[in-house]
Amino acid sequence: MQNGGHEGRKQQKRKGRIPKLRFYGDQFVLDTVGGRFYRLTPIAGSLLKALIEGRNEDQLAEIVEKQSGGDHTRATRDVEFFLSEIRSLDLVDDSGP
Amino acid sequence: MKRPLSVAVTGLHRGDNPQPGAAVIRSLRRLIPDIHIVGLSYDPLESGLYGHGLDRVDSAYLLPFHAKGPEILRERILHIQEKEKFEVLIPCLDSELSNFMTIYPDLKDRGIMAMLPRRTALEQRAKEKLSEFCKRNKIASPKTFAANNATSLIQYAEEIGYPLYVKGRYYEAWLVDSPADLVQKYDKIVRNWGGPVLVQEALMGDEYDVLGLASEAGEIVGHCTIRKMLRTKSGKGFAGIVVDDPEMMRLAKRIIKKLNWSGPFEIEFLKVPGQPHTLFEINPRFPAWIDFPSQLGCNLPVRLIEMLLGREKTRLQNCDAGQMFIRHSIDLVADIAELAKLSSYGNYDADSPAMAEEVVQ
Repeated sequence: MQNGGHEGRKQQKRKGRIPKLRFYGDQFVLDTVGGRFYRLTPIAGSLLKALIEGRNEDQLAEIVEKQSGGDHTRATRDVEFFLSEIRSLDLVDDSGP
Repeated sequence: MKRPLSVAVTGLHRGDNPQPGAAVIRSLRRLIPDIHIVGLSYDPLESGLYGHGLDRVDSAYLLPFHAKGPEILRERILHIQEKEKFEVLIPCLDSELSNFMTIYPDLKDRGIMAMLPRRTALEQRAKEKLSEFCKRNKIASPKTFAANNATSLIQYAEEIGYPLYVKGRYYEAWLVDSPADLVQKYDKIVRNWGGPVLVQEALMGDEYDVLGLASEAGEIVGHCTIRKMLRTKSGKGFAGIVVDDPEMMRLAKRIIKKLNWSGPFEIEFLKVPGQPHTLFEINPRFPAWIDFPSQLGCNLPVRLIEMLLGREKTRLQNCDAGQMFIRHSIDLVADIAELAKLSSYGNYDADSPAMAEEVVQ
């Protein structure tokens, strides 16, 4: 890769954003900035919507507990896994929710 | 009765590597149904010559190949102009632009209007010079080198590392993973298009295209941005989805301003996760998917005509993220009589009685 200093710095400033996501029902979402779209499980759909509303990790874990009936430790682990997945898809960046 | 607007369009072939002409014609007819289209073609088998729908041509003429130079083109265009009296010319191929720019003052004197970029702008965005432009303006771009012989090209390729793209100046691009493969593709490209040939770093990521139209002042008057959802073997978009990426648009506006570009364009970007938007090509014309934004209410070929002829401007709608297109191949029915006439005489008129009679039989 060549150059990119100027644009690279600009992009650094955008850390912390959540791209504009558009839901089509509960299980299909489009990232309107990147043009990628995803099919979601019902729990993933709920978590993503909650994340956009500004809920924290504990609150996300509660949603998982409620919907899957599992324990809190497992739900917390599932949320961490979910957040890591959506970061790798560039749906949220490293600064997290 | 008022004579309908007459417009000449090139780049009529729509194969697996479609040219933009037929899509430009479709866009024009959407808002100017009585328009008269003069199809300008380099080969009687260009598929757009045989369309009968919105993208049909009303008359067709063969043009001399680009290598024959501007003078022969000038004679041919002025000969066609005497018969057709067209007011606007929309060139749709990269390789013909330089000749059209050379003869444009004569064409303008004869009442033919076109919106062509300035020569300095055209040269700055040429594939072999784009890297330099990007460096000067601090825009990320893949490493690219140009050479006129295979030995130098191999040396450059070693500097970049395999796999990499080998590209012709105007057309063709191949992904190669060895010097032997590189030399084979180099020979093929030189045979088809001449030199120089380029080697370019292969970056893996999503491809995005911004198409648009710029005013004489280098301002973008309308645009549409897509992510390529499906690509052909040669990297052409076969399906695309509209995106709304403010960062990409800011960059596109900066590029057009820096080039002082005027007229149609297509800017191609690559997005590699965690890296800045990377510019890898600027095409000096409308792309083959230009009729997609036209169907969304952003009809840039019509806006181009309005700008050239000082007509009242039709409102351009925003292209909303999530709108998508998928290309669809169909079979056109034609009669060999059309091909025969075009091959024998270099032109045909779709409305001529002789042709109509033959087509009906």
